[in-house]
Amino acid sequence: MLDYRRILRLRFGRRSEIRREMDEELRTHIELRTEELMGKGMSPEEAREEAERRFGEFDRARRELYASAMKREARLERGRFFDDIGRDIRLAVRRIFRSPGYATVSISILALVIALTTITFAVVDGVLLRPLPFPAPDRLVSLQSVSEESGPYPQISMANWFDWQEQSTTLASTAIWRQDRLSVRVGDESFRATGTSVGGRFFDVIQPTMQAGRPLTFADGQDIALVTVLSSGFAQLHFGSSSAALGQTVGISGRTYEVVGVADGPTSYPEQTDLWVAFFVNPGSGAIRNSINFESVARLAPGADIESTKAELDAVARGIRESDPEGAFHSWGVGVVPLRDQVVAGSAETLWMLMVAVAGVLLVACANLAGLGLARARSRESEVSLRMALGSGRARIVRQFLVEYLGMAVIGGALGFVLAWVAGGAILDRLTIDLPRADGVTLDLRVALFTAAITIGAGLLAGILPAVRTAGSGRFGSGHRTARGGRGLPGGLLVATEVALALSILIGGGLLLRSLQVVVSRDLGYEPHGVLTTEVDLNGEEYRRGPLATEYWRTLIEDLEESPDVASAAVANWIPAAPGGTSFLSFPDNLEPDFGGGYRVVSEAYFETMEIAQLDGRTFGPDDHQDSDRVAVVNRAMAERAWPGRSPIGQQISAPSMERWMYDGDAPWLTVVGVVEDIRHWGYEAEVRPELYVLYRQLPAPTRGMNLVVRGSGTDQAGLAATVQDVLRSSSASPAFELEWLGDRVDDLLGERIVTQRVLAGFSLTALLLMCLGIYGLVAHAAAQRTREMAVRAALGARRSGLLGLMLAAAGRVIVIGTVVGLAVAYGLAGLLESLLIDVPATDPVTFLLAAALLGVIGVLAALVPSVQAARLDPIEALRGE
Amino acid sequence: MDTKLPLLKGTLDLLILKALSCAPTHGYGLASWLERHSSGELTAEDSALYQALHRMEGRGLVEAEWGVTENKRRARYYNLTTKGRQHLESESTTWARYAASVSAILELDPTSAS
Repeated sequence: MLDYRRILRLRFGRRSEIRREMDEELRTHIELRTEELMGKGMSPEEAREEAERRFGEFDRARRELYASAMKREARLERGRFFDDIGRDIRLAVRRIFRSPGYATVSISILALVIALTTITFAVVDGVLLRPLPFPAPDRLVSLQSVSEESGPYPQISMANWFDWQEQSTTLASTAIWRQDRLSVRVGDESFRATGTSVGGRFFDVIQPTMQAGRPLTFADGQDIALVTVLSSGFAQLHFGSSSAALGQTVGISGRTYEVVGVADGPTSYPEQTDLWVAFFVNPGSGAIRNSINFESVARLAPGADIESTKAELDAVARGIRESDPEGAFHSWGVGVVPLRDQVVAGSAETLWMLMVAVAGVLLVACANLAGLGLARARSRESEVSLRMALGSGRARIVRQFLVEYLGMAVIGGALGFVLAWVAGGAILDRLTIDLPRADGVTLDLRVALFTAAITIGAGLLAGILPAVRTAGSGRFGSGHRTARGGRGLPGGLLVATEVALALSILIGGGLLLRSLQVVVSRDLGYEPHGVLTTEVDLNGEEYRRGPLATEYWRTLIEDLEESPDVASAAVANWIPAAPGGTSFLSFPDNLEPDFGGGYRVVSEAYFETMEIAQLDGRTFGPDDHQDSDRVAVVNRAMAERAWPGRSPIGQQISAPSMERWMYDGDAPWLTVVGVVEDIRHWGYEAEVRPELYVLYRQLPAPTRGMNLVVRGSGTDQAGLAATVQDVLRSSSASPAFELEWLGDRVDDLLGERIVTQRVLAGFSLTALLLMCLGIYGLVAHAAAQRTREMAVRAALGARRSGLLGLMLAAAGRVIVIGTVVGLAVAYGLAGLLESLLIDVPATDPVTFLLAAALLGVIGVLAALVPSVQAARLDPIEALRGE
Repeated sequence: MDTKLPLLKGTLDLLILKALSCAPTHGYGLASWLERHSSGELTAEDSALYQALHRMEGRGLVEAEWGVTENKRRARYYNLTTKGRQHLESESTTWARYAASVSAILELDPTSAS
């Protein structure tokens, strides 16, 4: 029992006790002095006065002595405390070295698990928790289009943005931007690069660090100045250094730009930008408000916050709707979202889920260590009894053992951090997924502090139970053995906890695996593998008007199809797994339906090249050209949505938001001539949407940016690539291009899901291994404890199988309890995984049962080995050894 | 009238340690020991004495225990620790050297000193 009274006296009563003692000491002193003076002839009163006078001004002297006595006590306490700690540490070190095996196992387990936890936290911190690398990052927001039905889109239209920023007082500066792949020329080299076009006061909002020159200004855009700012990485790659790039020229999309500044890559926005150019922003009205082609960033004005800004902008949007009622999108409200949340939106849930999972693994490790410690408690009885006989209080002993566990934890934590440092980079590289802000993930001070905190926490958590048990074991004195002493109930509970946690993590991994399987087995609607693709932009002035662009595509496709390597070739403005646009639709009897469709400008062979099945009617052919009637092909989803129960062939449809500008009046009615199968645009996880296909040759305005898709006739991939390269290079435009396999691009879309599942599988494996270790230890220890009992049973005729059953039953109870609790925990935490699963419920019973069964089998196997050993013992030998 | 010499700070600590090296005693006992052995020349305010004792107890040079005087009074008895004994030895040596050096200089014949 801890001596509470002594502890309390130290705090509250000690001060008055010191004062009382001082008083008594002084009283004795005064009395003795008084006696002496009386002996010299003074009267008692005089003597007493003189005695007090010797102290100076007596009352003040007494108070000063109180104070110095308190200081004395404080100093003594400190000295005692540090002495004790020093002794405890030396003792702990001696103990650790005395049992190297146990210490090695404990420290290794802790090092491994802390390394995993540290790496996971480093990612969570680097991506989610760290503020953005811009000045006053919490003042940065993203403006979005939100509606009740369709949730927020992070895109807005230039016209809306123009009015919002003009009428708003809560935004200090604001800008719109979009990021594209562009054709870039530096010197003689032509290639594709990532460019961000900005309008408004982009650099005022973001304020990246400039390594050279100046940022782009609002005036640059409004003057349509041909100036660009490069990213430091791009500048270094192509010009050698940031300063060398200043003043140079760069060809962008066919025009020549002067480099006026170089921005530091890591502190600029958006990520992966190679260069920035400014564009002209102009107000608009009517349906042009529906072109939500841009994203927006803004810096809040001083004193404004998100709610007030949103309220103001919503009011502005309402006002716009009243004065300019045409179009659909501008009737949406305005979303104001902290920029960091927008940047990391897709990854937040996954990362937090992984953090919870690794915390579970850490808990399993702590339970494991606590169990190991409990097992050793018995072997320390004699040591504890000795210490207590020598006067150590129980609290002191508990503290001593806690220091030992903390010591091992600290060593394990330090090793774990080093392990994370050394191996973390390699591990993260192998798990290459496109996490936003991934470049900023490092093991810095914040992560180190986190590691220190969990190390201490783990040490305390793992150590408290064994420490208390060890300190208590002295009570029985050494040599006392119970039939079922040592670990008993707490040990079983610990292992049950491990089982429950391991099962929860296993179920999580299993759910993700099932979801992955479901997703991958989905039909995409097209076949991406075997298709080579590149974006091709016709930047020359001659292509802006007239037939040259259309002619170019036609010739390109013809030249490609001449080659025996090519089975079919086509162009499309918008292919799957790439950015593109949807259009507002119109029907003769429903001018503004409540849904939009994908707007795809394609060539005739597109469906054949992409292997999209034809369902009804026909696709485009040579009779469809500029002077014939405008025709369209729709997909199944469009047919069912727009003309349910009827055949869409012969029906009419138009795409006003995409086509109106090409004609001097309204967009024309297109006649539907065919139906094709649905596709999933953004890979296996995407849903199906209505699509509208039109033929490029029929458009009055040339399409200058297309995606080329080429399917090879054989399996010679290198040959196909070479052929396509040759044809592109020798074509009249000789555009910059970047060949990529469409199959790879689509597979990469699953990348994050696959990596998450793999990581969770790794965590599950670790938890399972630790659980097995725990079960093994529990059974082995129980067997050792019950040696006498088993020997007696064996001697009395019990068969091996009976003994085996006895041991397994004990382990089985623990596994069953752990399994039940684990199922309950997984059920309760199901919500955590909800958003990460597709087509699989978070409480999928099949997964739960399979995981529980697997765990049960593994657990029994872990218990089997020591049980078998126990059952095999020779009763005589065992009893003799007792 | 005799002027009693005031004690320099630090010297008091040394004297207390010396006193305690003879025998453990309480605060009053120390005060009268000092008066006796300095023939009344050296004095200290009694409160300064206790302050010095507190200081040295905090630093571990002396330790204290409650005891009983001959007349059955409760008094706090001070005792020298090992550390205090070592401190007394080293400081005594230092003091002796200091005193000798100072005396030597002060005894110099002003006419022969240069």
